[in-house]
Amino acid sequence: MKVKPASQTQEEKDIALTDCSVDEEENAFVTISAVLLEIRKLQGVLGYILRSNTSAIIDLDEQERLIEYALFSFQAHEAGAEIAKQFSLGGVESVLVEGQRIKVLCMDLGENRISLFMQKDATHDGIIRRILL
Amino acid sequence: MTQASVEPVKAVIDEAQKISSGIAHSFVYNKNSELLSSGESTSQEQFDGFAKSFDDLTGVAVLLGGLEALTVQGAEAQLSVNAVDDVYLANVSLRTADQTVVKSLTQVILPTVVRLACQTMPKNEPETIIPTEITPELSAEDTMLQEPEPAHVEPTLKHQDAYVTTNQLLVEKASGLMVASDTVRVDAELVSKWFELYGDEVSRVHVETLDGKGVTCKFKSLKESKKGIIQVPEKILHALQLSKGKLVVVKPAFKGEA
Repeated sequence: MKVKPASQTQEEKDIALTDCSVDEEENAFVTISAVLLEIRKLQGVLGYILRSNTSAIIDLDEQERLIEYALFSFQAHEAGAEIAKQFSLGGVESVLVEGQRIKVLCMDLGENRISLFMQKDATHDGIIRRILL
Repeated sequence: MTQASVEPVKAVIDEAQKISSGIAHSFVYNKNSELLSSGESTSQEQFDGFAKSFDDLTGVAVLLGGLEALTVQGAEAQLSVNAVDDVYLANVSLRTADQTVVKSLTQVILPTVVRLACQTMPKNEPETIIPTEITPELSAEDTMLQEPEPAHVEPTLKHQDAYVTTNQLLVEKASGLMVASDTVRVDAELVSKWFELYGDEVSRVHVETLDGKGVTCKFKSLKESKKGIIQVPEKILHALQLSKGKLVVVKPAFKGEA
């Protein structure tokens, strides 16, 4: 007697779909972290913070100021989103904050949040293109 | 900025927004987050919401050595904030607008007017800036300004990498007997556009490869009409590990820049 396999329940289908999207997110995180690793080697780059829903990577020259950098990163992303909402800028593509010594480039790529710290005179145009490629 | 100088700044902001509908908002505020002057399109509520976010950011910007500039790039518009003397000038411009006109207004004329307004005025003889009609060709600068050249504005331009004209050009090897090893030759149309936008402050160009290697060097116009081309001497090709047919990003470098 032949036994037909039980058809997938709706719950099983939902779990399968969720697993696919989690894999995609992890792949994106890995890809972005590889790009940032290369960018890290460029002259003038002081470090970066990469954060997703489940993982984070912090690579900074000044490890002792890690909390300050993390706090700044959070604030910059939040400020960008709020300002974009106030003035109807559309979805935020990037936020660039320039200080006297350092500038920070913040970008959101899907669920991944990037903050890249650079010397004031570092060129960030090429860096943006590398990240987006 | 004194009360007497606020009105002319507002007049210039309103005029700039009439000239270019691409400038959606423009306002000036001080370091205490008090709104000094704004166009008609910016409400107090909008400014208050913005000021709160800006203050939060300023609070943590000690890490950067103080906050000098902020650019938020959105899908439809961008906001840029720059320190001008002891105040901040903020502009929101649409991405679909003519960027040449927008940049002329937001990076040259408005900062110049704000800077003039910030200068101390004698008590007995209040100096007023009389706004006249501004045309996109920048000729109104000469009629409007009663002070020397806006050369002081150039540091604002230099810091806004996002706004300085950048172009992707195709590399050719510069050949011939009289090729200077430290000079690139750039599409003549592009060079004349730079001089139109920035005047004779452009003294060099910055050439950067797509993987981040860059060099600042002298430049000349290409003699032949070759759109989108940059001819690079061998020494610079070698330094940047470039070859014919590769793409590079080129932007003007200003006097005084490293």
